[in-house]
Amino acid sequence: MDTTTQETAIPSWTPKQEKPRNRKPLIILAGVIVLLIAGAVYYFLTRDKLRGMIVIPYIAHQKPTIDPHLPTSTSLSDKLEEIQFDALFNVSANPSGIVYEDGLGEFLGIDQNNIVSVRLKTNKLWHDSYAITMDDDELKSIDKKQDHLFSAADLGFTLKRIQALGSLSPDYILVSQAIDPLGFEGPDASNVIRFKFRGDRIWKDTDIKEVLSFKILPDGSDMNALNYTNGTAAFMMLPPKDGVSNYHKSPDGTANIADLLLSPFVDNSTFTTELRNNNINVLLDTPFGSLSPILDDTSDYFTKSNVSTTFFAVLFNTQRLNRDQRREARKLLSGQQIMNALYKVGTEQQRNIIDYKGNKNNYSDYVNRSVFPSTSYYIEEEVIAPIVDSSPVNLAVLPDTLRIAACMNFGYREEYADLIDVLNTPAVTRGRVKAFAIQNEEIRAGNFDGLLVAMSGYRSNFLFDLYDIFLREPDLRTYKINLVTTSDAQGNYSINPISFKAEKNFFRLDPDLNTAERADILQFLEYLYGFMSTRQIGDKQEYARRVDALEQQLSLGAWMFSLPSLAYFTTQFDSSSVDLYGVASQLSTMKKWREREK
Amino acid sequence: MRRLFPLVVLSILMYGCPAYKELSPDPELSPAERGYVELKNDEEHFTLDKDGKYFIKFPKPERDRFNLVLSFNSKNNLRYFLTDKFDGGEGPFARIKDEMEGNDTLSAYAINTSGQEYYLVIDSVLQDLTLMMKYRYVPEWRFAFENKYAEYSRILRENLVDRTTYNMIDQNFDLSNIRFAEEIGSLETRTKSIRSMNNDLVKLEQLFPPGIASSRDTAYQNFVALRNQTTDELRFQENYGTVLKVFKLEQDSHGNPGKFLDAAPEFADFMSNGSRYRQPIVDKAKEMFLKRLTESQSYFDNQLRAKNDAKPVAFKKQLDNGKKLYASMGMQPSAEFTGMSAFVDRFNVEAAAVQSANEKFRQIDHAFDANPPWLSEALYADLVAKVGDIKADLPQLQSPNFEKYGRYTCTSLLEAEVRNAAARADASQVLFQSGQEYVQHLNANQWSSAEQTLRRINATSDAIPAVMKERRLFVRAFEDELFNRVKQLSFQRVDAFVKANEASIDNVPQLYLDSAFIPVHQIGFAAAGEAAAQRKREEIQKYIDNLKYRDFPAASIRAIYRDLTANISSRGVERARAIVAHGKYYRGDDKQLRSMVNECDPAVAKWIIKPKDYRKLYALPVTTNPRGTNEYVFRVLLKIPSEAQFPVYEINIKLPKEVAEKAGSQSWYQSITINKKPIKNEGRFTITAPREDNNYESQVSPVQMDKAGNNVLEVRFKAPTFKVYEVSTMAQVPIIRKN
Repeated sequence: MDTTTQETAIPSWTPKQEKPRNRKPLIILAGVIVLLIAGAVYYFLTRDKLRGMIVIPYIAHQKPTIDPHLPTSTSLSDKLEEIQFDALFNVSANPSGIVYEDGLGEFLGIDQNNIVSVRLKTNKLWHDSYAITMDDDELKSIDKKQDHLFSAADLGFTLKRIQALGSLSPDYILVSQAIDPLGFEGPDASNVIRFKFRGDRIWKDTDIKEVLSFKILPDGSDMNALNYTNGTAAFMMLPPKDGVSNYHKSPDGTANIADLLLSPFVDNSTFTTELRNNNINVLLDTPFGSLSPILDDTSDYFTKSNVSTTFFAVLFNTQRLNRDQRREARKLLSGQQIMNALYKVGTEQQRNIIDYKGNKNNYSDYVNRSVFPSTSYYIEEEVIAPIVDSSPVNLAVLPDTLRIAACMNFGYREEYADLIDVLNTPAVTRGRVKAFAIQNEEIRAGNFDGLLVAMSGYRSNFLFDLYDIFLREPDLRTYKINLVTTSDAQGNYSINPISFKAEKNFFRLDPDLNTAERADILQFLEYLYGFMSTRQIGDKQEYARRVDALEQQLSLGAWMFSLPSLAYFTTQFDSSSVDLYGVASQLSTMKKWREREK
Repeated sequence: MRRLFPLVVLSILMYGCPAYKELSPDPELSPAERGYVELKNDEEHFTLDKDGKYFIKFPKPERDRFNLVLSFNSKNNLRYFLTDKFDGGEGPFARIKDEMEGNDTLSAYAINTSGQEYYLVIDSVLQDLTLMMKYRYVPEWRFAFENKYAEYSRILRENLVDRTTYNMIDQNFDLSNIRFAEEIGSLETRTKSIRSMNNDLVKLEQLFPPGIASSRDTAYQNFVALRNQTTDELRFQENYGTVLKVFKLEQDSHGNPGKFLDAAPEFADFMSNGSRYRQPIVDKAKEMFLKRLTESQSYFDNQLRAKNDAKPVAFKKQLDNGKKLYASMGMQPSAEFTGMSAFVDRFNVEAAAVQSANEKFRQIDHAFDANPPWLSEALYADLVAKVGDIKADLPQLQSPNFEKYGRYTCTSLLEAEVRNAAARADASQVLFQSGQEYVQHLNANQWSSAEQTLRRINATSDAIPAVMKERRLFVRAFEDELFNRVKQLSFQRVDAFVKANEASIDNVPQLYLDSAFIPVHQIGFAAAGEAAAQRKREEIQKYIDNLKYRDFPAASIRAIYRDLTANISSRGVERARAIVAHGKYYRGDDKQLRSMVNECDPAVAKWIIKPKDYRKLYALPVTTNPRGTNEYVFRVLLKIPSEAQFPVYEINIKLPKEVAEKAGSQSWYQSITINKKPIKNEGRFTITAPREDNNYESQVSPVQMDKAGNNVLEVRFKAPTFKVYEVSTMAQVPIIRKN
């Protein structure tokens, strides 16, 4: 258990950092004018302390680990892989939308037989070609060690890994929908390789580059490493301190700003203050996703709203609550009511929100009625029409007290704390809920009726991740998906029922321990796997409908609401250089960020 | 020897062709006028050989108009002729006609002094013979008369008519004793012969030489005696014939005064030449004629009394004949005859006048029946003039003033007809003047005035059926003409307007407000009632509306669309907007036209009905700032057949370089919406940026196709231009994207 907290947000090794002055005695003794003057002096002296660097906060005990092919437990990890690893074609953005830039490949074209030719940039160096010398926290030098050039073998290794990961990796769905089996021919003498793309569509440049936008690992890497550090992209990972690495501009890179620092904090409650105090200059998610009253000076900050990537749900313990109880508990935990209470809607303390479409305080848009969030493709396009049971809650079915636990140590502490209060509010849950905090280790024991969890990093597109919800190891410290598949003689994979084991998921779903619902649970598992493993959109739509329908019967969770997402930037940056898009790829344009000229 | 050979041959040939041999009489021939002189050769007769050829020269006569008479014992064995030129059988010559050709022994030829001599040419002798021939020079008249005298005497003798009856006729003579037909027939035959002979004698007399009358020529004296006898007999026969015919005519008309008076001119002529006839005959005729004239008065009076029409009296000529007969006899007609004649004269004048008027009315009626040029002002001017003439020509009625005859039925009828004609003339004059007024208005396109006149014509009632009929014809024709004219001019005006403006692109909505789309006049009258007027208005309006809402917008849309597609840079926006403006008025069902309009209407979503096919469409400005920045819009609607329950597509948008080339520094689009909901490059949506390396193509994905509804993808962008951009869009099933 890592509960270490750090009061100082800026790592001490930062070369351009100025030490804060001790301002207390002098300022207190001075008068108001003196205080103002002192404040002004302080401001002028400290305002440039983050110049030349990008400083992003993270929860200290949620150290980002990088696996470019798998989702991770922290959304920051998925963002960081964008700056560290190259694909053949990197996804980036400009003011008009997504663009695909040459990464490790140069697109040559596609012929009539759907053969895609790509010239590999074999002159690109892996970051381990350099020797990095640190002095304590300070980067001393980056020196060429030996050339470790990118090669077709690296690409081959990467495809092999993606193939092995199968449906666990979104990249598998991405690539296999175009190339099956995963592989290529070449390279020839000109370092040109050829992919055989499927012939069922017109492959536009954009589509081809999207398919080939999976990040590439060096050949020989550990297939199951927890953290991948060696990339080829604009930023290279520095040696870690306390298990966390900062990033520096690669000698081969073209980034405008040289350093990316990850600043650890205990929880997110102080993020806005840290930003205001100029201890960080980028805040990718505000608490509650709401506008911060202390950051409303547009001359100092600019914002960008994103689509939701996190939803809060109470995942019912199927070992403690039967189906009827879960159904009534779901009705009791009204997402709209809870959200209104959480955001203090209608009060002076209302937490104001804004979405990327410009809608303000549209709280009801964030209320979920299905395991598929309302912002997801499947709900927005009405592929799924969630059934809303508006009948009164049958409290008689429920236990006297519905015990809902929450672990507050892995992000969203602010939200968790307020939510526990809300759930314990009789006006919201009719006095039938006892919400309380537990430690991460207690989750696996399941001594609660429901677990309040923030599911982060979900995608609103076709690749909504059900594994993350239903097959994740009940351990918030690590990120592990308990997917067990079986291959038949023809090499066709199917999901193994042992994927659902009580101690292996948040719901304590286990067909062997719940004979009354065994068939439905197994069926649900089939649908779950079907949804995640198919690369056909129509199949995904149908599986989504089935998953939703069966989940409505099983009432495995109260899906409550999605969390708005709002990013803040200081005007240290030229806002016109910050082209953010999507969520996971938010930092892919980071090398283009510029500081605003004074 | 060789030189002599041809001559020998010619001689042999000539041997078979004997030359003409001249016979030279002795004594020589003499032209003196006397009896026949025998032709001899020294007291001998000439002998002629069979097949011999001969000729004899005769001297010319002493005077002109003589005959050379030749007498043969037989003409049968000879073939001969007389000519005034003879050259041994060679050269041209003319045969003089033998005036006694049929005679067996004589030949006679007319000769004169113009020639030198005459040749009797005997060109064929059928057998050896002795020529027994006499000749005589004799004047033509004598020869002719001598030949005819006996015949003339016989004709006269045989055709003399007995004069007893003629001489017996007097007032007491019973004409019934004469069988007129036989007598006249016999007389005419004889008279014909006598007249023919008399004509011959007149002609013969012209042959006599001057001074013959004073001579004591026996032949001439015989001629004179014969001619006098003939003349006397002919005069008698002609007079007698006339008497017989007159009496026969009178006899044939007994019981028929009309027939009598029909023959009255001949009677009058007879009486006028009464001196040619015996006085007793003339007296008898006069007595007879007076009696018949007196008898005829009551006959004609009865006819007048029974006449029950207003037509001219048919026997006026007979009355005139009667008056002439009276005059030929030197007598005054009776007062009754004179009164009747005066009445008939006046009656006929008035009847003829009203008949003429009626005939003119009939001509007018016929003219109307023949569908005259209704819109000709000259027609009505002529009609008014004609009616004026009719009125002027109508007589002042005097017939009724005749004491006796004024009460007759025919007079009453005539009076009525004259009054009717006058009344009709008055009514017609008013009608025709109204017609003239109407046509003047119509030809001046004064529709309301014309229609007002038409209403008045229709509203007026006439007691005279003919005029009423004409009035109805007027109304029908005028109503038709007004309708046709209004229709035609309305059509012409709108046709011309459409033709002139079909390619116009400025102020198109204003075009549809043009007066060309309103009839030149709203038909407000129809004799059949308001419903009929309404139908007429609708017929015109239907045509106009068809142009306004179909042909005009259709032609305009086609023309402007053709220009637009030929060069979208040439006032493309104006053209596209004009097409859309026209499209708002188009009510036809031509899908191609609708498609053209829709293509130019940025508000209309362009259907994509087939996956993987690029579809061109226009991006058009929705603002109007020709020299500044404008907002552009295009819309796409997926209508792709799909079996999927939730079909979804990516849409690829190929943009003009001009629009997309700065997409890297600023967003090329202002907004992209689906069903008016903005979509951004967030969440489930991916919007790729157009760049040079992707041929300025942007992709929007995923776009759900609402199978039952309308998921409209709308793109708005701004550009510092005012033009039409061509954009290509393509939809296909999207790939699953990670980002």
